[in-house]
Amino acid sequence: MPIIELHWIDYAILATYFAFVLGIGFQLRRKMRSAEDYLLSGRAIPAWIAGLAFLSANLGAQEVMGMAASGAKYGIATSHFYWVGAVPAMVFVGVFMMPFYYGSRARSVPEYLKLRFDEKTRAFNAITFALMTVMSSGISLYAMGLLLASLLGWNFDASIGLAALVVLIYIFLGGLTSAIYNEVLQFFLICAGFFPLVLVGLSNVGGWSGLVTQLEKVAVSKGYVAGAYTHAWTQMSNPSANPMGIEWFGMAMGLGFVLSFGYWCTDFLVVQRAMAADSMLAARKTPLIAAIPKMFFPALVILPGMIAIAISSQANGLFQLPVKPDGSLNYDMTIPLMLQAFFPAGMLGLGLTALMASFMSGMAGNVTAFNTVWTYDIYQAYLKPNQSDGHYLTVGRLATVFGIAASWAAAYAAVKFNNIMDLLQLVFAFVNAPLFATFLLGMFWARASANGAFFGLLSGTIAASLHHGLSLPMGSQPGLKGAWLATQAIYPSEMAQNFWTAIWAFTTCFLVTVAVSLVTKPKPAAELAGLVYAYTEMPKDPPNLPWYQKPATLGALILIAVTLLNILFW
Amino acid sequence: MDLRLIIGRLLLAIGLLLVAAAWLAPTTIRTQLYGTNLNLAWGIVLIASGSLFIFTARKS
Repeated sequence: MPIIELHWIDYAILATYFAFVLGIGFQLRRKMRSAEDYLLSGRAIPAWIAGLAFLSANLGAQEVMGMAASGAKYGIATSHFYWVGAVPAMVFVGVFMMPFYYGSRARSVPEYLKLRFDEKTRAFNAITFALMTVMSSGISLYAMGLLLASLLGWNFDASIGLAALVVLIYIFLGGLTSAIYNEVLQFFLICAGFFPLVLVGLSNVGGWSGLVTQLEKVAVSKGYVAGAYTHAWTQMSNPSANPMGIEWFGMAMGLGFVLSFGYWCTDFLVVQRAMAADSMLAARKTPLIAAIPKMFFPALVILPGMIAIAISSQANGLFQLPVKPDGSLNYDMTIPLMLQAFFPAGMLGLGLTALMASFMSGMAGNVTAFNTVWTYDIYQAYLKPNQSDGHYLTVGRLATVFGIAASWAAAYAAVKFNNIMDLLQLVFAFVNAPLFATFLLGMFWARASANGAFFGLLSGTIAASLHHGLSLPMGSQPGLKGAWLATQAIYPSEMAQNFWTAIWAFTTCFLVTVAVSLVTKPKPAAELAGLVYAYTEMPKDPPNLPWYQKPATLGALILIAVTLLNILFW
Repeated sequence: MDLRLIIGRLLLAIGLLLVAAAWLAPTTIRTQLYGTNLNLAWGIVLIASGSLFIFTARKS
């Protein structure tokens, strides 16, 4: 792929964005008077800001570029990651789980686990989460450096150094509030940068009908039925009939239930945004507000991938997707290719700014979650309890510096180890899937005991490892992709293997937690008030609240809308 | 600090830069969408959106 030459106007747009980002940090600096201000935004964020930040915290560039790549590889079925794998879970966390998170006054997800169960469950979650966030942030940095080097010819070291410095400055100064404000800016930049890309791309392929016609040819040429790239559900009865290689049960149970609920309902990176809201009502509305744009995001991030594969498959197409050394198409280059092909100087600067914003926000989201978990759940809990608030504010700032430095080091580790990204995906599947079973039982079954939760979590993680060690995606070699113990099962795709790993992890954790809880002593009812459904009074909506602001009504409307989208693209 | 003001100002600034780009950047086939200069059209959209954010922030 040829290097893109940027015009000075593109640099001006990028510089304007950096000036605003740093300006937010400097503006917020004086408001950071306590550890709660710095690490929890003083619980003063309005619902609409928390909602957009909740959405954007998940919109790192790996997500944006990855979804476009999946759109090119799998077609509209990629929307399942939104319509099945996100929106229902976001409604669930807003309506049912937020009263426990917010109402318990826990400062983090691991702290909720401590209040509900015990210290060992908290420690397990805090340590794995801290490691995951640092690795994830480092990989975001690495991916950005790699993209800028290959796309613009920029120096790798300078690119990641500059991005890390900017993120460090604005989080160091303004803490979580600064990260949240910048995530909202990023949301608007992504919309502003990608919406015209979709318009120009669609116009190039002859509109939606032209795109469908072209993708039908692509599907037939790859041995699928004509609608395999343009229908989300019709080919899900058989894994070999769709490009994802997954059937409806694996999709609904693996992605739609375990992985989706495991991520959106328990990952502190996103839940932290709702916990920073200024009231219980705002905290409950946060994921619901996020779910509204989320259900339409496939049009912004998946459609460009579908357009790219349609153009790339034409003999006289505007561009061709590059080929990897192993002969397969490099789908990751979808967005950069589209930007290069369709955007003139000026718009190109806006598109690149949107990409850089998502890289940096992805990193900032991880670092702010890391500094909170480190300060409250590791440092205050085990290293230096009972210190002054000022002490923990300083530790929070130092944890930010350490988190950025560790991310920077992780970015260089990613350069040396090709498979670090695969490893991270694996760790996510091992940790998040069983965690959802722990939360589900912890919040809705008062009998779940501390030992039940800990051993359930541990056995769920072991079950995920065993399943991975005994299964392999078709065409892969035993190793990091699986079957490192023996090859007992072959899945049609990596995605199918991941979904089934999650199903095994969740089921094992659920069953072991129930079994151990039944033979061990639960916490007394008095200690479970505000933490478990049976001993918590669910928050009542204010009497004059308009219907569209009531979480239950809003949630029901969102579920109806997302069902209609599934039917529309069935 | 009203975030709507910040969003409005950022969109306004980028919109103005895009309008400038419509005149300054080299004219190619890529600059056109349905016969309209893409930088100019999108620049105007961003200026309008930015102004709306600033207006609503000032109004409340």
